[in-house]
Amino acid sequence: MNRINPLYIALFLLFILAIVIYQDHKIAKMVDQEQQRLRQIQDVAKKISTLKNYWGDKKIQRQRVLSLVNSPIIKPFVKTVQQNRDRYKLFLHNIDAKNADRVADKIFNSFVRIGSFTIDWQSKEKISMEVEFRY
Amino acid sequence: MASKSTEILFLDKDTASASLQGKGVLILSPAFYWFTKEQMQLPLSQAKKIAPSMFEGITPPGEYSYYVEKVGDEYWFFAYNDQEILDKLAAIGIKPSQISKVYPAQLAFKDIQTPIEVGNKVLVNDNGTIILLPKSLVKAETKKLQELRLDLPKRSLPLKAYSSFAISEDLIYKFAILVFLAILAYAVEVFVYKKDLAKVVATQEALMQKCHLPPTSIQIKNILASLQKIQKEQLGLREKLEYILRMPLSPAEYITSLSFGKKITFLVALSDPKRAELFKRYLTKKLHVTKMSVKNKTLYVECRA
Repeated sequence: MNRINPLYIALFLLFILAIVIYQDHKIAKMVDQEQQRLRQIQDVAKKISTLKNYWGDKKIQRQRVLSLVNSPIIKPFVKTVQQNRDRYKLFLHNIDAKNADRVADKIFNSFVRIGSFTIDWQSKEKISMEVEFRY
Repeated sequence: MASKSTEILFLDKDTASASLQGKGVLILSPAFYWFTKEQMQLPLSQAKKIAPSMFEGITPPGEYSYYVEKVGDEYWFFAYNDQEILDKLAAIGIKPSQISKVYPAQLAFKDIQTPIEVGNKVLVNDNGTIILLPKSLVKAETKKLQELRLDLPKRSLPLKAYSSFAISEDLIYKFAILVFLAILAYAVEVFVYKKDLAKVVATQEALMQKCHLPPTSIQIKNILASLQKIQKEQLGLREKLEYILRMPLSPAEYITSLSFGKKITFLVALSDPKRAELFKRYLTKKLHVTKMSVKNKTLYVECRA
C-alpha cells in the first residue's frame, strides 16, 4: 500500500522524456548550426588562404618581386631600385619595343601588388619604365 | 514483526467504522479472500504461475489478484478482489495511504490457538485454517485482538491500490516501460550528439588555428573583405592597362607616355587630330575618362584608376 502510484511514475517518466526530447532537439540544432559554421569557416579559410597567397602575404610578395626583378627578361634593363619596408620601386631603362611587351607581360601576369606604373618614351625606339610594388 | 505501537485494522465485510491515527496494518477477514493450501514440490515462482488455476471453479466471476506463501512444506494460495477491499476501506473512511501492509487473517493469525474476538465475531483456527464465526457459536475462552502481540510475516499482500483507474495498471507499467526505453534511446542520441558537437567545435578550432583566423566572424569578414579589395584593385588595374594598350592605333600612332597611380594618364601621338573622337568613344566604354585634350597632334587622357 506504500507503493508509488504507477500513474505518477508514468507521468514522471513522460516528464523526463519531454526534457530528454527537448535536449535532443536543442543539441541536434546546435550540431547543425556548428556544422554549418564549420562549412562557412572552411569556405572562408580557403578563400582567405588563396587570397593571402596571391596578395596578402608580405614575405611571399617580397620573394615574388625579387624573383621578378632578377628574372632574365627584366634584369638587363634594371637601372636602379629603391626599397623600404612596404614598397619596392623599380626603374628600368633602354627597353626596346619588342622587350617592352615581354617585360610588361611578365610584371602584369605575376601576383605582385602594383602601386604605380609609368612608361615613358626615351627615344623613338627605347622606353623607360617605373614600377612601384607594394608588400 | 509488528511492533506494539503499530495500529492494526481488522477489516470485515460487516465493519461499519474504523479509524487510524497514523499508518496501520490491515488484516483481512476471511470474507475478503479465498484460501487453499497444497503440498507441492515446486519452486515458488512456479507455484505463483499456477495460483489462478487453484481457484478455478471456486471463485465467482470477477477480477482477482493471487498471492502465494510457502508455509512449512505447504504452499498457501490466496485469491482476493482488490477493488472490493478498496471499496470497503473507502466506505469506512480509510485512505489506501494510511495502510502500510496488508495481511490475510490466515497469515496473520496462523499460529493462534485461542479464538480471537473481533467485534461480534470470533476468529478460530480450524485445523490450520482461520475462519470467522459469530461470537454466539464459540463457547471457548477468547482473547481480544488488541491484547495480542502478533508476529507478522515480512511479505505482505500486494494490493492493487490503483486499480480504480480507467487504464489498467499493467497497461500503465507497459506504457512506462516504453517511455523509459524512449528516454534511453533519446539519452543515447543526446550523448552521440554531444560527442559530435565536441568534434565539430574541435575541428573548427583546429582549422582556425591552422589558418591563423581571428576568433570572431566580424574579424574574419574584415580580413576577407580587405583581401578581396586588394584583388579587385589589382585585377582592375591590369584590365584597364590591357584595355588602353589595345587601343585601335594606326601604324603611325603610338603611346608616348603612360602612368598608373592614383589616376591614369597617358599621351598618344596621333596621325590625325580628328581620330581623337574615335579614341574617346573607345575609352569611355570601359574607363571613367575625367579629362581629354588634343594638342599638337598629341592626345592627353586622364582617367580614374
